Amino acid sequence: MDKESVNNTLEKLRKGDEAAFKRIYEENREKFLNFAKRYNLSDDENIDAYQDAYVIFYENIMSGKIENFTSSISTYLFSIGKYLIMDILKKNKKQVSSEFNLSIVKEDDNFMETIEIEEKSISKEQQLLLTYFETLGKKCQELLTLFYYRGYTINEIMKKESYNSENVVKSQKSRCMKTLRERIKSDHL
Amino acid sequence: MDKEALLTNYFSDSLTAEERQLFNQLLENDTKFKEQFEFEKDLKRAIKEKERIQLKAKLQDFETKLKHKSTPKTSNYKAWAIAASIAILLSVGWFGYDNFIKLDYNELYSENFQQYPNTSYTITRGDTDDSTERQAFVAYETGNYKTAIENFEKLDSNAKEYIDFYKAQTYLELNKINSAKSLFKKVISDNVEFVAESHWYLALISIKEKDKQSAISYLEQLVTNYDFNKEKAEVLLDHLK
Repeated sequence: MDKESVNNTLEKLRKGDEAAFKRIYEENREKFLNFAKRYNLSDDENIDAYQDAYVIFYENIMSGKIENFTSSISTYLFSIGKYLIMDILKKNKKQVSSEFNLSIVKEDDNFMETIEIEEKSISKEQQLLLTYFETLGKKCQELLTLFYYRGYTINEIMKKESYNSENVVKSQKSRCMKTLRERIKSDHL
Repeated sequence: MDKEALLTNYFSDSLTAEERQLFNQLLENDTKFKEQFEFEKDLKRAIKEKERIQLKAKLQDFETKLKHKSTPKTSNYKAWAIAASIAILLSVGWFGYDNFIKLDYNELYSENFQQYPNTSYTITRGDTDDSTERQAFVAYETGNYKTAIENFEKLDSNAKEYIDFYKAQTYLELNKINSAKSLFKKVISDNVEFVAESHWYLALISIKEKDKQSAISYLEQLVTNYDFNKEKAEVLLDHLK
């Protein structure tokens, strides 16, 4: 794929295009599983690693951490996947061989610095927040998701959701946060 | 600038250098500010988790549909089952059986042989690159070994050190064992990429050629010096000795 069509794909993903989301998953699946074979994990573990890598890849597009592609999509997936597999191997206490030569990954690994990979599990506080977040109204959930997940600025939210001014967005956001805090407080203090 | 604006800019990734400095100071000295920051950071992670769960569910769904479509393939489980059954045989005492169950070299070879996947050259659909290398790897991945070898032969193996290894793989598929063998040996003597892997394939070739001593020697080198396919190599070694 040339740069232009790759970045076109990225734009589609960012806009939430479901067909692109599915197509890219399927297009890179075999290649990834072939690549993962050499680590001698089970098939289920490999698929799991691919899915996690794909989700992280997608998150980084959505949050704007990957703004344009400097490599092919599979290279991103392989690099993230390699990282995740190494983590599984470490946890399984299987030895990681220095002989695993990742010729693809080596050259392009520098972009990994910009990619955000977080702990897989969440803390108690985060779990609590998740539960209460889901009790909020649709509008609040959308606004907070745009802000915290998609990394939109107040101004961008105003334009996207056709609010009248930035101040309206700000006060709407404060109200949502206040409701969230109050609901947690009333149940837990 | 008020504290709330600082936090807002932090989360939309638009802090100026000056604001960042102020932000860090507050984080250190202002417990209320820090608390608010932690709260928002946790919320950010919580929202991410919610999205993650939804995305994972979608992918699981793709996976189920794919599995219905495709035919089952030989998986790792098969390899493990073979290893396990060999292990059981061994514990019973291979020695005693050796007299009436002949070591089936061909079977041992085909049970363990698996073509090495192309991990060196990325092929993307709609790629404009139409180089010889690309053509070689496309053919390799799709099993057109004749085309693959024609193109591999045109390439300068000094330029890309992984070429010899894939060339050897292709010769192996074409049943040109001697060509494969000398290339794997070259990879080892050049000490480039895929040294461990080449030991493994040389051991398999020796098994195919019923050359027990060489097989043992390659496997022993593999087990002592590398981790690639170590467990499988150990099972094979037990089997051969």
